[in-house]
Amino acid sequence: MTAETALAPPAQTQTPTSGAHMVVRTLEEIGVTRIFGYPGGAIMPVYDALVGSSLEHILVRHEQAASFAADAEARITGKAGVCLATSGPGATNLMTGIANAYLDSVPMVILTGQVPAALMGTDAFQEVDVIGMTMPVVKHSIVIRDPDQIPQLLQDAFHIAEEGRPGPVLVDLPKNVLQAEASPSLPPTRPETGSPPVSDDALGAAAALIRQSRKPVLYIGGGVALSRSVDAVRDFMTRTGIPTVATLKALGCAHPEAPYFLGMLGMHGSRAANEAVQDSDLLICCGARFDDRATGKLDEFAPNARIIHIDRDAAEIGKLRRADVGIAGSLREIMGRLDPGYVEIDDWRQICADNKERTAFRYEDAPGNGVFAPALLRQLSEAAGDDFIAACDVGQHQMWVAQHCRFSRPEAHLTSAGLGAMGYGLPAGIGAALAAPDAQVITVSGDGSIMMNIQELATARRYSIPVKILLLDNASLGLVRQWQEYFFQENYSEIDLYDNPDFAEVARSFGIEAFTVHSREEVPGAIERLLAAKGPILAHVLIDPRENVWPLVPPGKSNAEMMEH
Amino acid sequence: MRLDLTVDLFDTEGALLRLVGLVERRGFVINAMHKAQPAEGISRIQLQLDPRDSGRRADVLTRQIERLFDVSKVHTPDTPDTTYQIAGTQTAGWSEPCPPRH
Repeated sequence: MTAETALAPPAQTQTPTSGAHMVVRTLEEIGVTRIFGYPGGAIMPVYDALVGSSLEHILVRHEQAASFAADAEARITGKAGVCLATSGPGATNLMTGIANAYLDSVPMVILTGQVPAALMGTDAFQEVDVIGMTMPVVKHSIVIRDPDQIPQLLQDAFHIAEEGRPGPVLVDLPKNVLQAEASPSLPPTRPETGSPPVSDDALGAAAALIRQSRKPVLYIGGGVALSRSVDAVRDFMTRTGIPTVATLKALGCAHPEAPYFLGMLGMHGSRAANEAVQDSDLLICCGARFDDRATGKLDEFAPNARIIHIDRDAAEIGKLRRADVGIAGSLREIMGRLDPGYVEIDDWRQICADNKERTAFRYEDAPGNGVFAPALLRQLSEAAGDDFIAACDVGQHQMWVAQHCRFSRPEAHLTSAGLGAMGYGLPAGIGAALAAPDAQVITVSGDGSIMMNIQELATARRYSIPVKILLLDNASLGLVRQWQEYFFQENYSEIDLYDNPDFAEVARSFGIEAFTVHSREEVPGAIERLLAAKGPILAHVLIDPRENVWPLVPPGKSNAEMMEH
Repeated sequence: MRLDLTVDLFDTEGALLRLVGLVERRGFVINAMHKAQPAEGISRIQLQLDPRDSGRRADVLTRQIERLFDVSKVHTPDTPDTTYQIAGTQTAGWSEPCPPRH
């Protein structure tokens, strides 16, 4: 048996109470302070118990937003975000957010109401098999059938969500369990968390490979941020001077001004990053998983490189690319102990630095007087400084944010990386603004994405959540249009959003301050107004529909085949 | 290449479905399956699997199964317990599995 420790203070054990009150009490004891949710039939006993509790409940206007907001809060705090919904449609509406958390390894506890146990499996009103439906996209799931087990099983859910490689854990709560009398006799216990021991032999083998290499590259992924190992990785970069590239999820892990940080790799990565990886003779993969958006055509990814693969999750090692040395364990410990000594790669560093300088983005060349979104984003992130947090939606604007914004820490960049879920940006901005009230939280969205959860303007208004929304409007589904332009012979199909509403008017109708930006000279004033706003505000920015994201690795091609405009 | 795998599961709700779903989702066809109960609270599932394509690896599948919380132990012909090798680096489970409480 794994060693366990009792929670302090112990559960208030002896007073009989309802299962629903036990749920709320246990959440309080675990340390939860905020829940994102939406009430409905089967979960009503929990909503009844919430009245008078210390938990802050944020009433969203669609359950999907509850799961996205909880996801964003978790990415900021490192603790499991919590969302709550009823059975049936409430649970199914959470699904996209659960999948989002799973693919990005975000700790989350999802509480769903369920029809009474006696009706489960009878196609009862608002019954779906949420355990079965979510099985591929949760780290674990639990049905609570005994009200006395509520404290322990909820404690288990939070432990599983947060330990090791984080992920979402779903807890299904049949209504009869919520309404039954619960009298747990024992305080809940939490298993002690451990990491696999890191062997000296493995570290020695990795250090030897690094010493032998002449063109090493450090390839960092979201695991660095999730495991709070940023300091250890930055220290390793400083000690070794090894050129470094980051995945979309790892932006902010390397210091943005680090001399040999080459930027993001992959489909919309920088030329300097992709060329360094392709030329490398050793890839030190830390907390990344060789995702296809990062690698391009896998068979041709870093073709001459040996691989050191370091990950908290042993199941990731060797999944897509065979590792010459694989080390599973705490990234903080491994990167702290990995010491190759002096690495003689001065020529390689110089090549990478020259490439970085030669291929850096230029902002002054944009033709015309229209708003150039990359320049706007660069200026905005620099003006916001280290307080900046971007909550992105999905599309061209998402890639522009990754390419052009300055991130001083990984929590500053909230993006739906693995799932690529349009609609993430606004609820994620809400979750982030609540979790980091002193930050400048800016949702960067597009005219396609914003419509997927635009109802959450009501949530921002209701709670006066100071989320700043930068809406880049090209009246189309821009990234799809770009692919149709280049990979489908300009056969444009269902990408024209010419009949969008006036988004500033929409925002105002929700009671939110809003304005529209038409031209480049309005940009400095718009940035100033956004950052100065004390409450929610929306800047509706009109951009050229023909603008594309560059560079681009065509789908299915090698990262060596980058396209430029 | 055919893979014979034996998995000990804690008898918890959804455990078998979770295992079978993972195996299929990760690209293996289940040719045969047998369930026994070697001890109270434990189900032993014997699986005979074929990969759907050459990119599917038994060692990766084994580690993916091992990280399920309902799994007590995975036995394979090459690795009779949960210890496995990663490219010459030995890694092992770091604690005895703790049976789920549901």
